[in-house]
Amino acid sequence: MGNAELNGATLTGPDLDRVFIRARAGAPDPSDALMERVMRDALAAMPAALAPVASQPAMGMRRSLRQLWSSFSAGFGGSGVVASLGAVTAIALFLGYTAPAGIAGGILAEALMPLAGMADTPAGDGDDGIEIEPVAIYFLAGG
Amino acid sequence: MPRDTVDDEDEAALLARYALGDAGAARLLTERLLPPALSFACRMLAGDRAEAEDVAQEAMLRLWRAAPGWREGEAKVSTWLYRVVANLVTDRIRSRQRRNRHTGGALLELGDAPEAADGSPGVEARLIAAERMAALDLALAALPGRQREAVVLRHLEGLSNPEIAAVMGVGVEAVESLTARGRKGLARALGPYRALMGFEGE
Repeated sequence: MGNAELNGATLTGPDLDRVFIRARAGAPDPSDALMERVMRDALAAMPAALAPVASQPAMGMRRSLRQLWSSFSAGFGGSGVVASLGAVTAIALFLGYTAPAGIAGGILAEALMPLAGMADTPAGDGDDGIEIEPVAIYFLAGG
Repeated sequence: MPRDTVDDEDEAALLARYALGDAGAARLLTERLLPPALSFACRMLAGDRAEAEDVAQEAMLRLWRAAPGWREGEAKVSTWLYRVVANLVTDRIRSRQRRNRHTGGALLELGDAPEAADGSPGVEARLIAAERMAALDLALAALPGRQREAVVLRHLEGLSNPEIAAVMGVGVEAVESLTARGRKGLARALGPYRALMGFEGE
């Protein structure tokens, strides 16, 4: 600022204060683009952005299992339907493992054998017996 | 949201809310803190708007990252942010100096000022205002860095001397000394532009 020193010109204190007042009035406002950039940074750096997901392990185990059961049973049409399916499955397993005498050689076998015999009858011999597919006979006979 | 409805304690509370995942708190903090950060950076960087925006954005990013570990009562958020801006500006000025690009010290050449697209009074007034601001920016850039920082914080950002002392990490007496010397230097630097400032007719 050599010119100023040579001229001996300086602003007075009040003039300098007026310069400051004008400068404060003309302070730059952030543009919308800058506001957007800063907000984007804020959301990207937000420390608890995943807080809802992270807080799930703190949930009680009993509550989690209840929610899992609700979701599962809803997919089958409700708790009642799932309970019925479970009961049928348990009975089927029991019958499959124990092979009760009533099925292997008793009542059911006696009832089914005549049907099996009819299946061996050639078709078109004038008999009106029921036709049962060999595969079905195999399962019904406990094979 | 009016800026004066949020005080400094609220800024710390907002930062705590942001740390808990409150995006609305981030919005309020941005509206409150970004304008002074940008203004301070702009005056410290000789009116370089683009660079000032980069500095302000970087300072705000550091604030977001500091939020989880922020201890309420340790420092005022605004004071902390001013300090970060000042440090970033210092780094940029040093970087400029290393590249031998001086930021100030030259007198404003009025012939370099942009010409008005037409002769309308509004355009002329804006040009004059821009030239006055450019003269102030160049005069500020000619000051030693610590004096410039103290003058800008005191007279353009409106901080009190204790607040400036907290930002600059010095005592209040040192702030008073830096501000007084800065004002003298600025008055001398702006002397040749007295006519441009338009004080004669006032």
